[in-house]
Amino acid sequence: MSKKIFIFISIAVLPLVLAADDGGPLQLVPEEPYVPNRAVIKISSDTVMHMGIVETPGSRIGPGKNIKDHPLVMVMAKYKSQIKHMQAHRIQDYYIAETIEGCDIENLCDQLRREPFILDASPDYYAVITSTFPNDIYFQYQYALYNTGQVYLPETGLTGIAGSDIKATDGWDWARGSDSVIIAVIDSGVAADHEDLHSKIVPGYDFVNDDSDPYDDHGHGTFAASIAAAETNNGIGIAGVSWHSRIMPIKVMDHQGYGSYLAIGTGMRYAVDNGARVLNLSIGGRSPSFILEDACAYCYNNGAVIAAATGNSGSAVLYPAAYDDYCLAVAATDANDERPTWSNYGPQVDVAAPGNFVWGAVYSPHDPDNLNSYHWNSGTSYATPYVAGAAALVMAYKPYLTNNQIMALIKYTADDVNASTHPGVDDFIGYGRINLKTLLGPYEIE
Amino acid sequence: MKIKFFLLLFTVFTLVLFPADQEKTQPIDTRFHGIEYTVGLNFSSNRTPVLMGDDDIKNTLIHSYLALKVDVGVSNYFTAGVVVGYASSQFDDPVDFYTLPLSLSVSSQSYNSMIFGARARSDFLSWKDFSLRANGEILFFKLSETESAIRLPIVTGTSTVKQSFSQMTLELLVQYDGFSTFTVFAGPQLYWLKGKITASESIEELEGEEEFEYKQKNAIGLASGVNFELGSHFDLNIKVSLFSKTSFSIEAFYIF
Repeated sequence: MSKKIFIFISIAVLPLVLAADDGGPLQLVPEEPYVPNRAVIKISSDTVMHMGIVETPGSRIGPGKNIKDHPLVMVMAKYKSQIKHMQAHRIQDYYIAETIEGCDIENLCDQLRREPFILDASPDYYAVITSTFPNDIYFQYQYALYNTGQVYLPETGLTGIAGSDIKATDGWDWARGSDSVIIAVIDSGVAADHEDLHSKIVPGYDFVNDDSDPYDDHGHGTFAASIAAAETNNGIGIAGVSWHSRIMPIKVMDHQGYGSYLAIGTGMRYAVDNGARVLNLSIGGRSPSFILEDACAYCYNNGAVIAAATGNSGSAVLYPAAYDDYCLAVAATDANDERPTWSNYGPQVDVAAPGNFVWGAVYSPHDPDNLNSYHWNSGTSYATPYVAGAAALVMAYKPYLTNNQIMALIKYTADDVNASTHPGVDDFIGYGRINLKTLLGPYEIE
Repeated sequence: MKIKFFLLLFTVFTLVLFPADQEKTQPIDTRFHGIEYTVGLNFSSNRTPVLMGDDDIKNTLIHSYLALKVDVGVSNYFTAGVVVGYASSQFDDPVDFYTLPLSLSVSSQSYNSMIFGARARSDFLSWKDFSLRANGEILFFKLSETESAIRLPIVTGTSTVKQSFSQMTLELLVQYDGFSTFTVFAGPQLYWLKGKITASESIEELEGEEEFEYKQKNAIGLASGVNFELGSHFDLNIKVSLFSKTSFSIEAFYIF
């Protein structure tokens, strides 16, 4: 009978015995979820104390040491084919096992947990930061991107409400743009030699002077361009919304800030014909005209997303933003997620973005000593490039989406920040203040 | 390494138990002795490491099922049967769908479905108190569909997640028949699992669909267990599987 029992036990527990033996090699891949060749072991401190073992934090455990009765010495002997050495952690009450190359850490930890004296064993998993923060020095003032309630105007001490931002740092976890996506800044030109923009510029055109040098002689276009796609994480200046997008300067406004509809329409068509997929129009006029409407239709039908400013007079939405079928009309919010009264309104408003005291790159044509500077400014002109940058991020992340889908996504993922007074889509901020976390990150279904 | 070692051990073990000497080994009596019917209930709980999509993203499929099994035996040599039941499954880690217009991360969602399948068993060699048994089973977990709301600040959409899979198991088991009321068995197990999970979303005019295929991470595993004979009409079978999946299965049979 005893022989039969032996056979029974042998067969029944054979897989279990084998399971407790050496495991197969782990397929190490670059995105390994834990530190290679390391297991962290927790043992009962009572056990160690009862055995009268006194050890120095950081001391190595192993045969030949003065703690030969240490329970982990026995464990090491048993797992010598997997564990090279062990040592007490210098701060925490854990033991660190260094394993041989290729050891299956998870399997080893499973086995170690079954050992007496060992309370728990775990791979040393990697954590990741949950938000992406650029190192640009003025980022600390860019409440529009990340608002902790910080002072955003150092000279005034003004602060806002934490969270009144476009959740850029969370959005950047998912997408930071691509140099294949070109944002055309249809404006006064761009100072292509500005330190925070010079690496981002692709050839554009000057439709005011009809030449191929769309240099900024006003400053408006440079400021808008930097918000959308300033060189980011370069240790200087500001952070742009779309880190890696490129900027196509299209000069349609003169040094006084005026531009004809014909120049604007021509510039829009030129931009799309030359590879731009996002158009930033921080400009507008009061009168409707087929010149602008036809240009918007052309660009939209050729796959471009058009972000256009609603205007700053506290009145009706300007054109081309008012061409609702083709444009994302962008209103402004402030550091408290409230709409400044000067932000234009009307049924054409689609979304809002921070536009009150926002930071950007400054080009001062009349101040040669101040060519690479940064300052704040206000207006829907500066809310618009946040939306243009957001569109560029989506295009880079999901290049198969149509412009219509991208525009819809930007609207539907916006936060209804004035829901307490105007719930739902309203004339003041449309669907709401854009939210890059919702736009780019996954919606969680429980 | 462990699996290879076990297969080697199993081969040696089998060769020792079933020597080539024809006089010692006894092929099972294959003569027709009449039809034997058995009806049983089976509960099975499984954790299967799987690889998902083109990037082989690691996840674990957890599924349990309760099944009715009807077998028809021809002598002691060959038994075939059908399986019908109900299953519940879920993934251990969230399944992410990043190519939808609005990315979705589906976590902790359970999928309930009918299962059906077939199985066969053959005791084809015996020596002294040992016998060699081959088992095969294929199960289809029918498509299950779960619909959820996507609640964005102003608009509301829907997501639909569909999931189905099938599994096939082949086992070669050495069985010890020396006890009067129970037998024990162990042997290698080949296990294949193949499935598909699809998510679609509809948010106003935004629509999209993304699909992942997945399969078992390891096909080779081990099975071991014990079969109790409870009187002349009842059998109780307990089985565990390791490596390709970690599973526990209990079957109770009535033999007519």
